[in-house]
Amino acid sequence: MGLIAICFMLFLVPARAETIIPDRASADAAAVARFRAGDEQAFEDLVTRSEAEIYRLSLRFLGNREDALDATQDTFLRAFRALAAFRGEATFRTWLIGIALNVCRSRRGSASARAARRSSPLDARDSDGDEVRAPDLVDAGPNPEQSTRGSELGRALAGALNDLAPEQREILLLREMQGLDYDELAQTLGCAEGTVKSRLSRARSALRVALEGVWP
Amino acid sequence: MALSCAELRLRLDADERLDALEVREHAAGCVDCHRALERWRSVMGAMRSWSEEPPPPFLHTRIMSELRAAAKGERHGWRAWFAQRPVWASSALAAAFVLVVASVVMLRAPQETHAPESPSVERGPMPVAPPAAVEHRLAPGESEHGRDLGQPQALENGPAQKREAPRLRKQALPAEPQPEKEVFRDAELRAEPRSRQSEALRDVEGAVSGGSARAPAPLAESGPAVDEVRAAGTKVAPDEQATTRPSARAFEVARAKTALVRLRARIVPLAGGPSRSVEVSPALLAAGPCLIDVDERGRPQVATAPAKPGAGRGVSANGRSDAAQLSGELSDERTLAQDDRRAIESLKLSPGRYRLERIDE
Repeated sequence: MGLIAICFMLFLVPARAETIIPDRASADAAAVARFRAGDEQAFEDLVTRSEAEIYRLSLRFLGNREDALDATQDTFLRAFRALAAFRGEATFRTWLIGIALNVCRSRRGSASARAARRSSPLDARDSDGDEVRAPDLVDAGPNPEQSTRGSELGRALAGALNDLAPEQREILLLREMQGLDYDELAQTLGCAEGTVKSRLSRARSALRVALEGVWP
Repeated sequence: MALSCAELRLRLDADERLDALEVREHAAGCVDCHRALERWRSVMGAMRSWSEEPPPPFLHTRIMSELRAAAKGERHGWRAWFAQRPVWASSALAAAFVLVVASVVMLRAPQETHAPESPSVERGPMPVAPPAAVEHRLAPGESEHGRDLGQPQALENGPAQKREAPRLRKQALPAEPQPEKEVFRDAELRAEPRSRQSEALRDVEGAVSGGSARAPAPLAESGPAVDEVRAAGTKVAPDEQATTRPSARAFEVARAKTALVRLRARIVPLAGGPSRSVEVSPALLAAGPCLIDVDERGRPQVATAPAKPGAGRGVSANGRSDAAQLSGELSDERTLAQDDRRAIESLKLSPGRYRLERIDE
């Protein structure tokens, strides 16, 4: 009798847990399938699960809350229009992060061009009255839970990241902030896994060097 | 295995496990590495903490309102229609559409080759004269005003003829009879500046389309247009020029401008000797024969001054008195075009004065 109870527990409990708390990827896949079947509400589920992540990523890429909001909105709009053609070769999350990356690159490029046209220095992030600032990875907003030391580190880290090459900055944020694994990074960035590792190593090294000057 | 300081720094960059036993052992015994390790952990922790920042509370509302507006606009659009269908069905539909368009284009093409028979072309003024119509004369009682370019009828039929213009031009060009003793020179056509060719072709277009934009000037007995027609070597007398169809006249103007026409001329040494034949542009002999001086280097130029004593015998090859006719020939100030100069230079004439005249004169 006890053996039967143990078997019951072994088989049913994990299955029940899986149906009650599905993992993110399978929930996204189900929502995508529902959306493609004509259920537009399914896309709202996808937005709900992904919006904060995409906003944070955009904020770190663009360094500006308003730009980040616009980029997030633009990302979901593009995803909404392209979801019918989504083949599911990657997870919805990495596919969406890829879209966000492209949107941010585009916005960052146009912001840099505008800033260059206005002849404003790229690192003039705190200049008053400058509506179109060069995109900086400023420490985005006060965080009451952060200590004074932590705020200093946040600003130093943002400044150091801003000094890195764009591909190094992207891969560090995707890896350390978004927590993508090597395979997901390769899919998102469109390169081989070996390239991901070497690029990540160079990015870390460059970040350490950049931090030495700004964060003792 | 104990790690060296350099190996530990490499591990920091290589994203390898920093809580491994050997790392901890080395950091416990090395102050610098311990500090570097703690510092790096702080940096990575700060970066990860960014992923926990709360988004603005209105983010979801803002995104969804934008999405709803977009969905509303696209729900009934063609994108939505295609998006709701499988890829193969959309592709098949697109291919079918392309086939239909291609079929329509292919079916229309043969019809257009017989377009001259269509009433739309025949109703208006003749776009491009057929070969026999170049020297068309008005029948007794036929109004010549009805053939003017500015007639309302011509304007009414303008668009149809504009469509026909490229094809008619192609048909007309080879069918146009070559004026007497004129020669087409492909090399010269190629060498002709494109601007002149295109200008002349636009004149043809203007005549064909009814002449609303670039209509040739109204026909007259004199003037640059008539001179050019005359220069083209056609047998169009002044009283006949008004009867020539506008399209034919414009065509002749175009040909004269593009220097397609060459006249055979005779160059006769005034000092005596055999005459030579040469092809020159019609414009050179438009006002009649002229005198050519050839210098010691064999370079010709139109004579504009009385001949030096002893330069000639005073009687031209056709027996007329030089004094009587050369005064008029010397009074005009014609210049040799580059092609004409080259043509005469190629004869390698000896220095002296020559008379240049059309062979049929």
